[in-house]
Amino acid sequence: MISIIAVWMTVLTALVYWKARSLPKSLVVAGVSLFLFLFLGLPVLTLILVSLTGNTMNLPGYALYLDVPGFLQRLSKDPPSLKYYVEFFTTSRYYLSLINSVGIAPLFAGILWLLAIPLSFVVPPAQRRWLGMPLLIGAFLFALVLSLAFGHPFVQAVGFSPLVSLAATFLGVSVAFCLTRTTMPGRQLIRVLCVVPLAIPSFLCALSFKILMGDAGIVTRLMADIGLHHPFASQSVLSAGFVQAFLEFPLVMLTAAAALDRMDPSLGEAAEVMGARRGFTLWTVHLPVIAPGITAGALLVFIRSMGDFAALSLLMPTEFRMIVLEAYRDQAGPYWGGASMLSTFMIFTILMLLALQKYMVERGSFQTVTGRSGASGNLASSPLIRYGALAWCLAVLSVPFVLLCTIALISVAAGWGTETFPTHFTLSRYGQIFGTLLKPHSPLLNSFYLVFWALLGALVLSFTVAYLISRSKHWSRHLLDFAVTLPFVVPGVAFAVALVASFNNKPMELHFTATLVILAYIVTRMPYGVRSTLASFQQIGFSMEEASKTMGAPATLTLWKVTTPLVLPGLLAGGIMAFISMMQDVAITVMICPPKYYPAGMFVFHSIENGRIFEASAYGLVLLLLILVPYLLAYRLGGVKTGL
Amino acid sequence: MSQVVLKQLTKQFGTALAVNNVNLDIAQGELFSLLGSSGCGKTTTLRCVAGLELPSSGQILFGERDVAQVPPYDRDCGMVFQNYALFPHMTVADNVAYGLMARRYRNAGLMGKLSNLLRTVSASIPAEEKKQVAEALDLVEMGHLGDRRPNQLSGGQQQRVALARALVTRPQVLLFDEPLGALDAKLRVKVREEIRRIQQRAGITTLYVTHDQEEALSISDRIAVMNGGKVIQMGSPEDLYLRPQSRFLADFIGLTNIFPCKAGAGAVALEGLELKTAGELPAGGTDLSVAVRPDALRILGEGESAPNEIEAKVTLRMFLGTVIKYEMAAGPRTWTVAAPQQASRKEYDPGETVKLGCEPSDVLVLRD
Repeated sequence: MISIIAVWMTVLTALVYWKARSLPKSLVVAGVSLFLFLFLGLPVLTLILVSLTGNTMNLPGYALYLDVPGFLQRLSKDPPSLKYYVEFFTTSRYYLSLINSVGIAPLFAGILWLLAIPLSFVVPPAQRRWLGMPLLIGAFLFALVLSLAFGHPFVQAVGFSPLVSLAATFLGVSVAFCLTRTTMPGRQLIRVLCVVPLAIPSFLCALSFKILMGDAGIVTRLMADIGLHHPFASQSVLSAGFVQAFLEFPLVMLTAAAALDRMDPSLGEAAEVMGARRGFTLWTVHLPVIAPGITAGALLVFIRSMGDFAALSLLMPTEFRMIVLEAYRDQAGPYWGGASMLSTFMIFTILMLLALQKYMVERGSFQTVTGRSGASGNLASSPLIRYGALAWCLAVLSVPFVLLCTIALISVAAGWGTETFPTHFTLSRYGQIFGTLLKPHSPLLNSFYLVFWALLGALVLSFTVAYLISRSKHWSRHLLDFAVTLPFVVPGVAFAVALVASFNNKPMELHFTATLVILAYIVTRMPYGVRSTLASFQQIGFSMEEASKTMGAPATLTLWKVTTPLVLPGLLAGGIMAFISMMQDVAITVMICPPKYYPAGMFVFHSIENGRIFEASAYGLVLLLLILVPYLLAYRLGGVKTGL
Repeated sequence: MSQVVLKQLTKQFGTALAVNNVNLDIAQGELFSLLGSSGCGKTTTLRCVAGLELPSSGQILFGERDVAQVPPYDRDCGMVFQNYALFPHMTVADNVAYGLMARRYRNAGLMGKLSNLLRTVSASIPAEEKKQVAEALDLVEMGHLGDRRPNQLSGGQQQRVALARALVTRPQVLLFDEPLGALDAKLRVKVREEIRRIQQRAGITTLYVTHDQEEALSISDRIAVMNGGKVIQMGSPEDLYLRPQSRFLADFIGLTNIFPCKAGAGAVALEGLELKTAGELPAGGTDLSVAVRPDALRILGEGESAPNEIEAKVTLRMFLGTVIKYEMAAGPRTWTVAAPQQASRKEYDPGETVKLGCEPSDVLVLRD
């Protein structure tokens, strides 16, 4: 295996050297392209292939050994067909899972909009605008009314993830307005606290929610004592949506607040001078101007909500099908055709939404937004607004924080069953965690082992890729740019299906090895590092390096003394975000990690599934602290604002 | 310090010719400016001299040595960038010492290289070079601010650090890329005088790129005006200002009173007017342009006369301090006249009709 890779490296390096005439550069380019090809490009290709053939396929191995006969033999055993796509339409479990996740109306509107794109080249320009927003909104409303009339529940008509996005958007935008457009007391602190929910692993919140609101939960019992009921159940659509919306709203808050910060305050002042009342100004000036920022945030929420394997599997009732859970179920079966077909559908949905968002941003972006910064001017400052805003922000924030406190409480409870609140407390579980910390394959040690190597790889790769994208002039940099954005579009479960389908048989068998987990972490978390490092590269421009060159510094000295120190903050911020995301991961780990190597996050998830809530809480809290400290550091470095 | 010669320098980006067959000969110790509007190829020419772009063809000679394909770090240039490009993560002294350290690094062995990489810039140069750094900073009056970071300095101070950084290695050639672009108008005048003073004291051959004709005229020994990747006229500042040869150049250096005309015998014919000229003219009937500088037009008093006379009506008077500027209408044209402001001189009000006179030698004939 090592030798065949060495052969390929030599061949690729020689090929690049023929053009680039520099050995270090050729080596780096060959290494990066080989790595991305083997562990990103080919697995995604395999996923699509498997959705046609229904059987796994070691495409990377065949490619490495140039084994065309082997590949053809494997292909002839399971010839490609559209069987699984037909199954999608005939099996209620499949189509219901897509409808539940994405919604009838959004799907209908999106597909109609996509179909209208080729039409827009034929239709005369005067009628063309009907093919954009009017078609989109009309189709959406049409499908919504029709599906409701045919008795579909509301959550099916609009879709679970769109509803979560909407709720998160409402929460995020309202908090962003409080933070940027009022003189609310404690704005700085609340702004920092607002990003904390993003660092909380969703399975921890799911656990906490069950402890509080479940059928025998603390709040449920307290309310029952005074004869009241709440509408949440241990496993219900409402519970899952509630937890997701309150965990993900900061994504919208960050993008909306950034847009509001950048927005010239004189725009609002101009509207008021012209006689517009505050509410009217809000609707006609502020919201349209920050709309591109809001849609970007809402889209992020949608992608995370749809792919949030951990929270959905803990909180969703089994009869309400979710596409990510069905893909997991098929993969565990294993039923490769179904799993990869559903994964392809997920990727397609996200691609469609990205295209839609690009279209909406292009027709609705305003140059004035990039005006002078610093919102001074007309901040609302009447006591009613100030304290009303504070109360609202605190209310929104209290949900994730109460969930956190519950975890902390349960982690030190000696037991909890018959009484409403735990009465006896113990620190023994923490003693146990730290006592077993250094034992081989303890969950925390596993986390450090996997994340250490993955982070190292991701940082090196991020720096190299960002350097190549920003400093190379060759056309292939666009391909590279696309490649490193791809993991962002592919949900974790889908990528895991792709990896298992590619590497679970010979000649390049890696399934159920720690190596594959590390590789998967590197590939899926690399975009954080690349985006944030790329931003640093673009910010410093070319002249620093040119100045170094004219002063007589050769390339190595320039790289070490000038380039690296200048992009280091960006790389670090991206690295921390990658670290957090790796520590939180369940979707990929659950499919490809051997149980011996289960990291802390996976261990907690596993404990929750098996009802070991005390152990899960204690480990979960330690995990959370490990995440939160670097996370707040990244916030200071400015990495969180990039929105990824 | 040496002579710099560009021979048939050409730089192509894709299909676009950024620099088209440029030939320059810059004498030792001379300050030579490239002047032109944005996109004219002046910066690309400079970057070719610095080695930041490799020319598509042609030669760049530093003395006897052709450096056209030599990487920038082997060329021995000092360069001041438009945005200064000071390293924000190093102190002022480290910024200035960087070039000296880079030279040591290039010649060091493996261990020397490693120690250079791991220590700060100032720590990796010997005492006599530290003295050089201090001298360079003193030269630009920044000696007391060596410990500051660039972002703690004003724009003018950053400018001077960038100059010290370019001078400290005593380069053969000094390059300036629009060095005053980021400064405000008042500071610009002060700093350009300083640049000129320091350049003359050090006697370094200098190539200076700017789009500001006043800056180029005031600072340079010689100027090449570029347009569309080509040099369209080269000469001393006086040459360019007093004897522009084309309409483009006259327009670019800010001349007014430019009108189309046709060549005649010892005179050029405008619509309804004939102006006598001094120099030789092309064949009769050739389409040309004519320009008269505003200060070359005299308002004739009672009984005065001139070889060329124009009758005109005052339409606007503006007081500009040392001069009074008039706009005068004569037939289809409007003439701008700059009359020296003296208490004894008569002033004219809008509506008055006057006679303007000028010498044949002040009538500039321009090819289009």
